[in-house]
Amino acid sequence: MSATRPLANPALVRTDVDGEFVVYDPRTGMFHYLNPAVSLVFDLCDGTATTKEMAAAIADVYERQVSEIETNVHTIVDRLQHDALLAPSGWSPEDSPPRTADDVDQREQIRLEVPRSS
Amino acid sequence: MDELNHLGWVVEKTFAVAGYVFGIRTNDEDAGDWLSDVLGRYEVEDGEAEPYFSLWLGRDEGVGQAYHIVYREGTDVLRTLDPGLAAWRLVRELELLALRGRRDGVYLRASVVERDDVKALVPSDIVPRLRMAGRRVTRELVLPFDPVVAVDPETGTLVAVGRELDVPDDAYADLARRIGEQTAGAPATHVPPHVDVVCAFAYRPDEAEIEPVSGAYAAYLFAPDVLNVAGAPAEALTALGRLVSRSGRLLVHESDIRSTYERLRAVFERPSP
Repeated sequence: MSATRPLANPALVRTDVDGEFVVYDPRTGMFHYLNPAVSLVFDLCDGTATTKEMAAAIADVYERQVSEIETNVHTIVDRLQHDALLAPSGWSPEDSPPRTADDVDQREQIRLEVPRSS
Repeated sequence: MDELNHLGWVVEKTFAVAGYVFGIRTNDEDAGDWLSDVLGRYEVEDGEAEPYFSLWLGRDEGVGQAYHIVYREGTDVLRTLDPGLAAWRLVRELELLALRGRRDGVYLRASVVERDDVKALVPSDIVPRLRMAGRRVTRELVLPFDPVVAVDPETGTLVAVGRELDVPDDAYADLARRIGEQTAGAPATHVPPHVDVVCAFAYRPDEAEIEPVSGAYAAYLFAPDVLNVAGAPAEALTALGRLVSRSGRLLVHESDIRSTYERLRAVFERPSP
């Protein structure tokens, strides 16, 4: 289910390359590539706008009907939520702090240190 | 790693570099002594870590020279007739571990391949696979031995990575001398500041051979090869973004070794990569 006012997960690190985002999740060590449409919606996920308001903003820029855009925005927000790129509804900075960078390094270290079965 | 266990390893030692504890094994007693003499300050006495790196020295058995091979887990990262080069690469692999903890730059497991003044940045793990496509590979392409480059986050330019471990300059010649062979010594680690194209690889044998990709997608494909991304994630993504923004971006779909090589070779023949 889409968050009421979607907020990009503050734990993420992102960079914008020509209108597309590459996102790094330090909690999982995973990277995400966001295509232009997803990047556009993700960039609007600042916790202040509903999906309908985001759709209206996009429709205004691209001179389209909100109804044409809103379903796609919902779908993208749901996907972002599924991939944990959005903060959970009701999230606050005190909730479940993201793992630190050193924790991610630790996983690699453990992989080297733990003997595997021969 | 299991598939290498039958090869006849005679020495296994444990080392610790930058907090990583791992084993190195070799099939040669002389090389075992060399490990302790050259990397002694990193050796863990009485350690019993699983081997993560392997150094196979191919001694001449009367039927011509045999390859010296450096393995990381089960992957051969270098096959060479030069024992000093194998020693250098083994030490370099250890240095990659040390780079994981660095916060002063962005370190990328990638190498610059050249042909006729065209330069392509490729993931370094593809290089040993390319070498297996036959002798003409090294006639047609300049393939580097160094598996790492640094990327300046401010400019996206490439920079050669210096030595990380305290190893004597003559350590590589020392191994060659111990086994009675010659060496050309440590290879040059020059890196051009800019490349014409960044070239990612993915195993999709049934798709188009070479595909232009966006800057973000190229950065995404190279991102897992940033050694110190966990410690400097913002710098890493910024550096990758700037790197790919100033060059062509291609995705080569891997197939068998020979086809993969042909596809990379074709990259250098494109009018404007």
